[in-house]
Amino acid sequence: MSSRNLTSEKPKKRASANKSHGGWWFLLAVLLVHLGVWQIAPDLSAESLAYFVQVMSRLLPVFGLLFLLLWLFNLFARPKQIKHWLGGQSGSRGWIFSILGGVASMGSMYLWYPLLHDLKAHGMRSSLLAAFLYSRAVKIPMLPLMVHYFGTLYTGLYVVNILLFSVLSGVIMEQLERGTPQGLDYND
Amino acid sequence: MIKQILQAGRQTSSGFFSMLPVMLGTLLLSSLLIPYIPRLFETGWFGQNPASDALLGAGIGSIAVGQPVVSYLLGGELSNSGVSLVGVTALVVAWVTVGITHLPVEAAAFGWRFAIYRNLLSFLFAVVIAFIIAGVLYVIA
Repeated sequence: MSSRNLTSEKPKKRASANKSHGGWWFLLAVLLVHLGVWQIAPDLSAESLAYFVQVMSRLLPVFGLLFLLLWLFNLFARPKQIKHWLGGQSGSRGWIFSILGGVASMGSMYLWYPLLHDLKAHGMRSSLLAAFLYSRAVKIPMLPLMVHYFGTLYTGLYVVNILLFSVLSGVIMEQLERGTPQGLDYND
Repeated sequence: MIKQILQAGRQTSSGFFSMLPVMLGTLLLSSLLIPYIPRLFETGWFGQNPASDALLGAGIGSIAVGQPVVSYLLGGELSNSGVSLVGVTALVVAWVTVGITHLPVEAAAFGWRFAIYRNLLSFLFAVVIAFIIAGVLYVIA
Protein backbone atom coordinates (compact mmCIF):
# COMPACT_ATOMS: atom_id res chain seq x y z
CA MET A 1 0.00 0.00 0.00
CA SER A 2 1.57 3.12 -1.15
CA SER A 3 1.65 6.14 1.08
CA ARG A 4 1.70 8.40 -2.00
CA ASN A 5 -1.41 10.42 -2.01
CA LEU A 6 -1.93 12.27 -5.22
CA THR A 7 -5.69 11.89 -5.44
CA SER A 8 -8.64 13.24 -3.51
CA GLU A 9 -7.84 11.03 -0.51
CA LYS A 10 -7.46 12.77 2.82
CA PRO A 11 -3.74 12.73 3.70
CA LYS A 12 -4.19 13.05 7.45
CA LYS A 13 -6.63 10.16 7.58
CA ARG A 14 -4.40 7.93 5.45
CA ALA A 15 -1.34 8.79 7.50
CA SER A 16 -3.05 7.90 10.76
CA ALA A 17 -4.36 4.67 9.22
CA ASN A 18 -0.82 3.70 8.26
CA LYS A 19 0.36 4.17 11.84
CA SER A 20 -2.46 2.03 13.25
CA HIS A 21 -1.56 -1.12 15.16
CA GLY A 22 -5.07 -2.55 14.74
CA GLY A 23 -3.76 -5.40 12.57
CA TRP A 24 -1.40 -6.61 15.28
CA TRP A 25 -4.14 -6.42 17.93
CA PHE A 26 -6.39 -8.44 15.62
CA LEU A 27 -3.67 -11.09 15.16
CA LEU A 28 -3.12 -11.20 18.94
CA ALA A 29 -6.88 -11.65 19.53
CA VAL A 30 -7.03 -14.52 17.03
CA LEU A 31 -3.97 -16.16 18.64
CA LEU A 32 -5.74 -15.90 22.03
CA VAL A 33 -8.84 -17.53 20.51
CA HIS A 34 -6.62 -20.36 19.21
CA LEU A 35 -5.02 -20.68 22.65
CA GLY A 36 -8.50 -20.93 24.19
CA VAL A 37 -9.56 -23.57 21.65
CA TRP A 38 -6.35 -25.51 22.32
CA GLN A 39 -7.20 -25.58 26.04
CA ILE A 40 -10.79 -26.73 25.42
CA ALA A 41 -10.43 -28.96 22.34
CA PRO A 42 -6.81 -29.82 21.47
CA ASP A 43 -7.91 -32.03 18.54
CA LEU A 44 -9.80 -29.19 16.88
CA SER A 45 -6.86 -26.86 17.48
CA ALA A 46 -4.43 -29.35 15.91
CA GLU A 47 -6.76 -29.87 12.94
CA SER A 48 -7.14 -26.16 12.30
CA LEU A 49 -3.41 -25.49 12.69
CA ALA A 50 -2.66 -28.27 10.19
CA TYR A 51 -5.08 -26.57 7.80
CA PHE A 52 -3.38 -23.22 8.44
CA VAL A 53 0.08 -24.67 7.71
CA GLN A 54 -1.26 -26.27 4.52
CA VAL A 55 -2.78 -22.96 3.34
CA MET A 56 0.32 -20.96 4.28
CA SER A 57 2.63 -23.32 2.39
CA ARG A 58 0.46 -22.67 -0.67
CA LEU A 59 0.29 -18.91 -0.10
CA LEU A 60 3.95 -18.15 0.71
CA PRO A 61 5.04 -18.08 -2.95
CA VAL A 62 1.96 -15.95 -3.64
CA PHE A 63 3.04 -13.45 -0.98
CA GLY A 64 6.46 -13.27 -2.66
CA LEU A 65 4.81 -12.61 -6.02
CA LEU A 66 2.52 -10.05 -4.38
CA PHE A 67 5.50 -8.16 -2.94
CA LEU A 68 7.18 -8.09 -6.35
CA LEU A 69 3.99 -6.88 -8.10
CA LEU A 70 3.42 -4.15 -5.51
CA TRP A 71 7.03 -3.03 -5.81
CA LEU A 72 6.76 -2.85 -9.61
CA PHE A 73 3.43 -1.06 -9.26
CA ASN A 74 4.92 1.53 -6.91
CA LEU A 75 7.88 1.95 -9.25
CA PHE A 76 6.02 2.40 -12.53
CA ALA A 77 2.40 3.33 -11.78
CA ARG A 78 1.53 6.90 -12.61
CA PRO A 79 -1.52 8.23 -10.75
CA LYS A 80 -2.57 10.23 -13.81
CA GLN A 81 -2.76 7.07 -15.95
CA ILE A 82 -4.71 5.18 -13.30
CA LYS A 83 -7.16 8.07 -12.94
CA HIS A 84 -7.52 8.09 -16.72
CA TRP A 85 -8.38 4.36 -16.93
CA LEU A 86 -10.22 3.81 -13.64
CA GLY A 87 -10.94 7.23 -12.15
CA GLY A 88 -14.04 9.42 -12.00
CA GLN A 89 -13.95 10.33 -15.71
CA SER A 90 -13.19 6.83 -17.02
CA GLY A 91 -16.83 6.18 -18.10
CA SER A 92 -17.72 2.92 -19.82
CA ARG A 93 -14.02 2.23 -20.45
CA GLY A 94 -13.51 2.00 -16.67
CA TRP A 95 -16.41 -0.44 -16.26
CA ILE A 96 -15.15 -2.68 -19.06
CA PHE A 97 -11.59 -2.68 -17.71
CA SER A 98 -12.60 -3.42 -14.13
CA ILE A 99 -15.07 -6.20 -15.02
CA LEU A 100 -12.69 -7.85 -17.50
CA GLY A 101 -9.91 -7.40 -14.94
CA GLY A 102 -12.02 -9.12 -12.29
CA VAL A 103 -12.85 -12.03 -14.62
CA ALA A 104 -9.21 -12.40 -15.68
CA SER A 105 -7.79 -12.04 -12.15
CA MET A 106 -6.42 -15.31 -10.84
CA GLY A 107 -5.14 -16.58 -7.54
CA SER A 108 -6.00 -15.87 -3.95
CA MET A 109 -7.92 -12.74 -2.98
CA TYR A 110 -5.03 -12.01 -0.62
CA LEU A 111 -2.97 -11.22 -3.70
CA TRP A 112 -5.48 -8.66 -4.94
CA TYR A 113 -6.50 -6.67 -1.84
CA PRO A 114 -3.18 -4.78 -1.48
CA LEU A 115 -2.93 -4.14 -5.22
CA LEU A 116 -6.52 -2.83 -5.37
CA HIS A 117 -5.83 -0.74 -2.26
CA ASP A 118 -3.00 0.96 -4.15
CA LEU A 119 -5.21 1.48 -7.22
CA LYS A 120 -7.89 3.00 -4.99
CA ALA A 121 -5.34 5.26 -3.33
CA HIS A 122 -4.31 6.40 -6.81
CA GLY A 123 -7.86 7.32 -7.85
CA MET A 124 -9.83 4.16 -8.72
CA ARG A 125 -13.60 4.66 -8.24
CA SER A 126 -15.33 2.66 -5.50
CA SER A 127 -17.92 1.49 -8.02
CA LEU A 128 -15.24 -0.01 -10.27
CA LEU A 129 -13.56 -1.60 -7.26
CA ALA A 130 -16.85 -3.24 -6.24
CA ALA A 131 -17.44 -4.38 -9.84
CA PHE A 132 -13.94 -5.88 -10.01
CA LEU A 133 -14.46 -7.77 -6.73
CA TYR A 134 -17.87 -9.09 -7.83
CA SER A 135 -16.88 -10.14 -11.34
CA ARG A 136 -14.10 -12.29 -9.85
CA ALA A 137 -16.90 -14.83 -9.31
CA VAL A 138 -16.57 -15.76 -12.99
CA LYS A 139 -13.57 -18.08 -13.15
CA ILE A 140 -12.97 -18.95 -16.80
CA PRO A 141 -10.73 -21.99 -16.11
CA MET A 142 -13.42 -23.36 -13.77
CA LEU A 143 -16.31 -22.98 -16.22
CA PRO A 144 -15.89 -26.44 -17.86
CA LEU A 145 -16.13 -27.96 -14.38
CA MET A 146 -19.25 -25.94 -13.64
CA VAL A 147 -20.74 -27.15 -16.94
CA HIS A 148 -19.91 -30.71 -15.88
CA TYR A 149 -21.72 -30.33 -12.54
CA PHE A 150 -24.63 -28.06 -13.46
CA GLY A 151 -24.97 -27.99 -17.26
CA THR A 152 -24.34 -25.44 -20.02
CA LEU A 153 -27.55 -23.45 -19.56
CA TYR A 154 -26.99 -23.08 -15.82
CA THR A 155 -23.38 -21.96 -16.40
CA GLY A 156 -24.46 -19.45 -19.05
CA LEU A 157 -27.09 -18.00 -16.75
CA TYR A 158 -24.58 -17.87 -13.90
CA VAL A 159 -22.02 -15.91 -15.99
CA VAL A 160 -24.60 -13.45 -17.35
CA ASN A 161 -26.04 -12.83 -13.88
CA ILE A 162 -22.65 -12.31 -12.25
CA LEU A 163 -21.60 -9.80 -14.93
CA LEU A 164 -24.88 -7.87 -14.67
CA PHE A 165 -24.85 -7.88 -10.90
CA SER A 166 -21.22 -6.75 -10.81
CA VAL A 167 -22.34 -3.54 -12.55
CA LEU A 168 -25.31 -3.25 -10.21
CA SER A 169 -23.05 -3.81 -7.22
CA GLY A 170 -20.75 -1.01 -8.42
CA VAL A 171 -23.62 1.40 -9.03
CA ILE A 172 -25.16 0.77 -5.59
CA MET A 173 -21.78 1.07 -3.84
CA GLU A 174 -21.22 4.42 -5.51
CA GLN A 175 -24.67 5.61 -4.43
CA LEU A 176 -23.91 4.49 -0.88
CA GLU A 177 -20.59 6.35 -1.00
CA ARG A 178 -22.32 9.55 -2.15
CA GLY A 179 -24.71 9.21 0.78
CA THR A 180 -21.83 8.85 3.26
CA PRO A 181 -20.18 12.22 3.93
CA GLN A 182 -16.93 10.67 5.24
CA GLY A 183 -16.69 8.17 2.39
CA LEU A 184 -16.87 4.38 2.53
CA ASP A 185 -13.16 3.98 3.26
CA TYR A 186 -13.49 5.77 6.59
CA ASN A 187 -12.34 3.31 9.24
CA ASP A 188 -13.61 4.60 12.59
CA MET B 1 16.67 5.59 -10.84
CA ILE B 2 18.27 3.74 -7.89
CA LYS B 3 16.67 6.28 -5.57
CA GLN B 4 13.26 5.58 -7.14
CA ILE B 5 13.78 1.81 -6.83
CA LEU B 6 14.68 2.17 -3.15
CA GLN B 7 11.77 4.50 -2.49
CA ALA B 8 9.33 2.09 -4.19
CA GLY B 9 10.83 -0.73 -2.09
CA ARG B 10 10.30 1.23 1.12
CA GLN B 11 6.70 2.07 0.18
CA THR B 12 5.98 -1.55 -0.71
CA SER B 13 7.53 -2.91 2.51
CA SER B 14 5.60 -0.43 4.64
CA GLY B 15 2.25 -1.25 3.04
CA PHE B 16 2.87 -4.99 2.76
CA PHE B 17 3.94 -5.49 6.38
CA SER B 18 1.10 -3.33 7.71
CA MET B 19 -1.38 -5.72 6.09
CA LEU B 20 0.48 -8.94 6.94
CA PRO B 21 -0.85 -9.37 10.54
CA VAL B 22 -4.45 -8.95 9.31
CA MET B 23 -3.87 -11.55 6.58
CA LEU B 24 -2.29 -14.00 9.04
CA GLY B 25 -5.05 -13.41 11.61
CA THR B 26 -7.75 -13.95 8.99
CA LEU B 27 -6.12 -17.16 7.79
CA LEU B 28 -5.84 -18.42 11.37
CA LEU B 29 -9.49 -17.57 12.02
CA SER B 30 -10.71 -19.24 8.85
CA SER B 31 -8.63 -22.34 9.66
CA LEU B 32 -10.81 -22.72 12.79
CA LEU B 33 -14.06 -22.49 10.79
CA ILE B 34 -13.39 -24.28 7.50
CA PRO B 35 -13.09 -27.91 8.77
CA TYR B 36 -16.62 -27.59 10.19
CA ILE B 37 -18.43 -26.46 7.05
CA PRO B 38 -19.05 -29.93 5.56
CA ARG B 39 -20.53 -31.00 8.92
CA LEU B 40 -23.19 -28.28 8.64
CA PHE B 41 -24.79 -30.25 5.84
CA GLU B 42 -25.52 -33.14 8.20
CA THR B 43 -27.73 -30.99 10.45
CA GLY B 44 -30.87 -31.52 8.37
CA TRP B 45 -31.61 -27.79 8.13
CA PHE B 46 -31.64 -27.93 4.33
CA GLY B 47 -34.69 -28.97 2.33
CA GLN B 48 -37.37 -27.16 4.37
CA ASN B 49 -38.32 -24.68 1.62
CA PRO B 50 -36.52 -22.76 -1.18
CA ALA B 51 -36.31 -19.48 0.78
CA SER B 52 -34.67 -21.02 3.84
CA ASP B 53 -32.43 -23.13 1.57
CA ALA B 54 -31.33 -19.93 -0.20
CA LEU B 55 -30.57 -18.13 3.05
CA LEU B 56 -28.77 -21.14 4.51
CA GLY B 57 -26.82 -21.76 1.28
CA ALA B 58 -25.81 -18.10 1.07
CA GLY B 59 -24.92 -18.14 4.78
CA ILE B 60 -22.63 -21.15 4.45
CA GLY B 61 -21.13 -19.78 1.23
CA SER B 62 -20.44 -16.50 3.02
CA ILE B 63 -18.31 -18.00 5.78
CA ALA B 64 -16.55 -20.45 3.48
CA VAL B 65 -13.28 -19.69 1.78
CA GLY B 66 -11.40 -21.77 -0.73
CA GLN B 67 -11.39 -22.75 -4.35
CA PRO B 68 -14.74 -22.35 -6.17
CA VAL B 69 -14.39 -25.98 -7.24
CA VAL B 70 -15.10 -27.00 -3.63
CA SER B 71 -18.41 -25.12 -3.80
CA TYR B 72 -19.29 -26.98 -7.03
CA LEU B 73 -18.55 -30.32 -5.30
CA LEU B 74 -20.59 -29.39 -2.23
CA GLY B 75 -23.33 -27.96 -4.43
CA GLY B 76 -23.42 -31.16 -6.45
CA GLU B 77 -23.65 -33.25 -3.27
CA LEU B 78 -26.41 -31.04 -1.89
CA SER B 79 -28.31 -31.21 -5.15
CA ASN B 80 -28.06 -35.03 -5.17
CA SER B 81 -29.35 -35.16 -1.61
CA GLY B 82 -32.48 -33.19 -2.53
CA VAL B 83 -31.59 -29.60 -1.69
CA SER B 84 -33.33 -27.17 -4.04
CA LEU B 85 -31.42 -25.54 -6.88
CA VAL B 86 -32.05 -22.19 -5.19
CA GLY B 87 -30.08 -23.30 -2.11
CA VAL B 88 -27.26 -24.79 -4.17
CA THR B 89 -26.95 -21.69 -6.37
CA ALA B 90 -26.99 -19.35 -3.38
CA LEU B 91 -24.15 -21.38 -1.88
CA VAL B 92 -22.08 -21.33 -5.10
CA VAL B 93 -22.58 -17.59 -5.70
CA ALA B 94 -21.99 -16.53 -2.08
CA TRP B 95 -18.89 -18.75 -1.90
CA VAL B 96 -17.10 -16.55 -4.44
CA THR B 97 -18.72 -13.15 -3.82
CA VAL B 98 -19.12 -12.90 -0.02
CA GLY B 99 -16.18 -13.26 2.36
CA ILE B 100 -17.01 -13.02 6.04
CA THR B 101 -13.67 -14.53 6.97
CA HIS B 102 -11.93 -12.11 4.58
CA LEU B 103 -13.75 -9.15 6.10
CA PRO B 104 -10.86 -7.87 8.29
CA VAL B 105 -8.47 -7.88 5.30
CA GLU B 106 -11.01 -6.22 3.02
CA ALA B 107 -11.71 -3.62 5.71
CA ALA B 108 -8.00 -2.97 6.19
CA ALA B 109 -7.68 -2.38 2.45
CA PHE B 110 -10.83 -0.38 1.69
CA GLY B 111 -12.42 0.62 5.02
CA TRP B 112 -14.99 -1.11 7.24
CA ARG B 113 -17.99 0.61 5.68
CA PHE B 114 -17.00 -0.43 2.17
CA ALA B 115 -16.33 -4.02 3.28
CA ILE B 116 -19.57 -4.39 5.25
CA TYR B 117 -21.81 -2.75 2.63
CA ARG B 118 -20.23 -4.74 -0.20
CA ASN B 119 -20.56 -8.06 1.61
CA LEU B 120 -24.17 -7.38 2.67
CA LEU B 121 -25.01 -6.44 -0.89
CA SER B 122 -23.28 -9.54 -2.25
CA PHE B 123 -25.19 -11.74 0.22
CA LEU B 124 -28.47 -10.24 -0.96
CA PHE B 125 -27.43 -10.64 -4.60
CA ALA B 126 -26.52 -14.31 -4.01
CA VAL B 127 -30.11 -14.98 -2.89
CA VAL B 128 -31.60 -12.94 -5.77
CA ILE B 129 -29.37 -14.59 -8.41
CA ALA B 130 -30.25 -18.02 -6.99
CA PHE B 131 -33.97 -17.32 -7.50
CA ILE B 132 -33.41 -15.85 -10.99
CA ILE B 133 -31.37 -18.83 -12.21
CA ALA B 134 -33.67 -21.41 -10.65
CA GLY B 135 -36.72 -19.52 -11.99
CA VAL B 136 -35.39 -19.29 -15.55
CA LEU B 137 -34.38 -22.97 -15.54
CA TYR B 138 -37.81 -23.91 -14.18
CA VAL B 139 -39.58 -21.92 -16.92
CA ILE B 140 -37.35 -23.27 -19.71
CA ALA B 141 -37.46 -26.86 -18.49
